[in-house]
Amino acid sequence: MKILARAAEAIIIDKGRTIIKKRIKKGYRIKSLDLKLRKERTNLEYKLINKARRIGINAPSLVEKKNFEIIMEKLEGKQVKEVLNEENLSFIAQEIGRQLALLHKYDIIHGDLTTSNMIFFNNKIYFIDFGLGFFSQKIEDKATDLYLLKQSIMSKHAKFFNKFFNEIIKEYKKNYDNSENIMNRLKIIEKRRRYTI
Amino acid sequence: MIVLGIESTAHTFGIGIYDSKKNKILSNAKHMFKPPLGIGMLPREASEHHYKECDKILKQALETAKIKKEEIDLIAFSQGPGLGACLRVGASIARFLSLELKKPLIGVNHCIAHLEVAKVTTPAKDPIMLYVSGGNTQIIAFDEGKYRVFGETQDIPVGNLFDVFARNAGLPMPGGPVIEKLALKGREYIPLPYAVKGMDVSFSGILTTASKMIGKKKIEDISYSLQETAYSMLVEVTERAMAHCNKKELVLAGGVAANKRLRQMCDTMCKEREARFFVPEFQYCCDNGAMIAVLGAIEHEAGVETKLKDSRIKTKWRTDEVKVSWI
Repeated sequence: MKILARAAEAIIIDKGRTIIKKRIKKGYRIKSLDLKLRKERTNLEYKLINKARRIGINAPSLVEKKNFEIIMEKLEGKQVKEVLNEENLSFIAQEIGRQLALLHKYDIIHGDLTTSNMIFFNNKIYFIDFGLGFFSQKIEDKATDLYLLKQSIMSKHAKFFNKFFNEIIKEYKKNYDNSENIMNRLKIIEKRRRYTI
Repeated sequence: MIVLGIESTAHTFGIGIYDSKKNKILSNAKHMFKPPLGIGMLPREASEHHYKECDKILKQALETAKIKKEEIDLIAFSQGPGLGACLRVGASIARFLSLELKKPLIGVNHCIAHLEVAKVTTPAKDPIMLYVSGGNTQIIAFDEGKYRVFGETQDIPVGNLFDVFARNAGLPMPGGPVIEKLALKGREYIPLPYAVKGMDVSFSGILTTASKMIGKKKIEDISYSLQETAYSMLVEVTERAMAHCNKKELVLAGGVAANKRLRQMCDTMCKEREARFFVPEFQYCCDNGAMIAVLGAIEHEAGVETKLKDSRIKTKWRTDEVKVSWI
């Protein structure tokens, strides 16, 4: 068994052309909560990736789901956080913005949008790790998705932040009619947290 | 160098004295404002408490440290974040002492002081810190030249969740210790909204749901479920932040660090991922003057000083706004 990666809640096992994402038991939480979270997240992640692929989002193709495991296509590319530079910035931003608009149009909330959870592969941007995702029509949830993306770009790519995030939003707005409400809510969410002026 | 540190961000007024040459905390005097049953803390009343206590606390700090006022080399104070009325007390006393003794003044960030005192009083070197109290819930670590907030609450702090729930249920303040005791007798886990958003958390949904159960479910079971849910969320995002920043040490700090269940959960999580877990001695975990003195000494050594005209309090001073020149 070759372990490709040890994430916080799952291990990724290399199976050649596929990978197994296995949610491991967490000893710190009570059993009922642990089982519930692992089961729910595995089921939901499978559904979300399935739906995302059907509406045309680049996401790994699915093979099989077991209790706490999803078997899926192995993407050979690199994480966006590793490859992002001044030259490919516009292309990557536009691809993220376009696909994010599509996800939200179909009420898919990713839940953990970071440049670690996007893969640059075959000149395309793939979305992975829908483990904290869910379906929702709420403006609040869509705006939170953007908020998390903004935060993660700010802490990881401070240098590119303005240009990168603005281009993502520009493309997002272009592809999503409801975006104005969401952008307004984003401002409210930012004011809600502690110590903001 | 002998540093006097003044803490007054919220309910606690504290003065600590730190000898930076010997790397030793000489004293850590404090007194906490407790509002009457059923009422939350009013900032003005807390600040009045601080004014009443400050003289006594200063004497106590000097006596325990066996130091004369004249021997002090630097005055450090909590400049923020916190309640304006309370912060102003500490800042005024700091300015006064600085002028009286003709010693330099330094205003420090309260949240970062929690982390730096942990580095002095435990073996932790480059930890991630889960900082949980009635006023703050943050996951902080040093990364690329700054202390950064990797996760935080999007609404209320976890200590506030317990305090407000306790108030709603007619339990005394602070709510945490009372709820901890009740939770030990809880048997049934009642599902509550589990709100993890990336590395952030949100507690307002739990508060509403749990408050609605008061009188309908056993208070012991609600307390148990409150703790299990809120702490599982915190430990989960902490683990995610540790994986994200590749840190191998965890420090738990803030008033909520007193909770045994939370400590146990952090310890288990760290063991499972082969990381080390530290909790500073409790007097340095909750709000205290010693940690302010420690951070003041560290910053002063790196050449930082606060001029009188720059000593205004900063009620909304974010951890990631602080310029870090000492690491």
